[in-house]
Amino acid sequence: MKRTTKRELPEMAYGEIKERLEGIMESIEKGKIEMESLEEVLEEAGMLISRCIEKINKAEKISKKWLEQQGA
Amino acid sequence: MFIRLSEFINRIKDTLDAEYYGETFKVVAEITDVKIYYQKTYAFLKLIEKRGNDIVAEISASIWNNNFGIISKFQKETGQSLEQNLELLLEVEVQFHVRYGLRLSVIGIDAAYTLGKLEQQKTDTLQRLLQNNRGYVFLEEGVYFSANAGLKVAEVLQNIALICAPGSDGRRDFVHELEANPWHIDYNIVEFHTQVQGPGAASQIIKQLELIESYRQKSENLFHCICIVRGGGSNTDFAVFDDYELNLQIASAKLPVFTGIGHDRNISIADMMAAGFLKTPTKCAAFINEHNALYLSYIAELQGKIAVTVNERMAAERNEINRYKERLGLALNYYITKQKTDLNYLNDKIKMMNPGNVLQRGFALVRKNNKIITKKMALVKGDIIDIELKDGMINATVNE
Repeated sequence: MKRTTKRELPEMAYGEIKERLEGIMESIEKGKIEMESLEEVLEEAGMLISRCIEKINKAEKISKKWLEQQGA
Repeated sequence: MFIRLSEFINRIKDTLDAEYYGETFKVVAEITDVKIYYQKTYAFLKLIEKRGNDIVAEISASIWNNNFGIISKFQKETGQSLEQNLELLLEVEVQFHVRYGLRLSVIGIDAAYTLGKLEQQKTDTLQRLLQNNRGYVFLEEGVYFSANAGLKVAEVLQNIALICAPGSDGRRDFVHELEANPWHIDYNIVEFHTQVQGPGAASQIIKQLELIESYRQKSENLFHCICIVRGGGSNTDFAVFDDYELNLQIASAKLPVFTGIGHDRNISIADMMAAGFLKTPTKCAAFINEHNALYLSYIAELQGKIAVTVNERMAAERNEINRYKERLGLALNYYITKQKTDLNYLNDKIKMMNPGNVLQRGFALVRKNNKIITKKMALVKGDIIDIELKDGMINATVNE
């Protein structure tokens, strides 16, 4: 199976990250993931957490001026 | 015939004194032209009564230094400063001065009346909000709330539309609290400046709310919430937050509104209509920090759980492999032992079959021309045979 790299990870909202991690957790708990795929799934979980921390630590900056330029 | 002015005015004074001297009266009046001299400890004001927009009665009044304490007492009890157009229940004495004329000396202000009046106004506004906006404003078990409180709050509140007065303490406290968060959460705060007290403040805040809504319509996830903050002040400073139109706007806002309005005496209607209300701008920011920290801790918990679950899974797999190993070892041992037993048996059998062993037991092998002879019929008289015994060979000739 092709590995998902961090760059390939789609832009996700905080809620989506949480849901995906919960999904991963449930799949592992219920033994739905084969041992061979475990490493890959763990890697995805790690990337999701890193992405989440990155997002938290660096907000996408918008400003009133930028908003005005958008013509809203 | 005439009298001097002083004599005439003194007669008026005597008449008034005869009727009013030493008596106090409770009067409901609106106050205007309030001038308080804190250094000199006295105040001047006018008492009026209106019918519609017309003033139907008016009189000057004073609060002299021997009663000056009633101003701070009233402010402390009601959280309300003495301001224009405030309707008060006053305890007054009639004073008439020969030079300065008639005025009322205020010796008491009824705080309970004012509190009741303010509460009544608030109740009326809430009732109007409820009756005219059924889809947005609700009353359940005596608690008013709005549709705004039912909006889904984002997992992380990071992009914040902040409605505040520019350069105000409230704004500073709010931003500082967010920026100093210990979780290193980076915020994107877009400020929407407005007056937050006095005439026109409500309409300015409404305009900013409308502007934020127009941005939201263009990009739904641009802002995660709206925060309205204002530092401390007297009750009248917060009157704007009881405004009907403003509260309708908050109730129908499509983004969750959080208020951090610095008053601790009671809550405003804006607090009731908002998705969440905090007592101060700092507490409002702290609430946002904590909301986000909850998400972070949940993610960390998931991370830990995943690690534990994977470890458990790996341990279970290892145990399974060990069990297989054990079973395989046992099976192998059994197989090897069985094979050994079989081999030994065969070996014994072979040994038993070995002619050498047979010879050892006293048997002999008879050969003729190197072929083993097992039957008498194969020999005739005169045949030369080889007889193999345990310790060697002998030649013999068949005689019979």
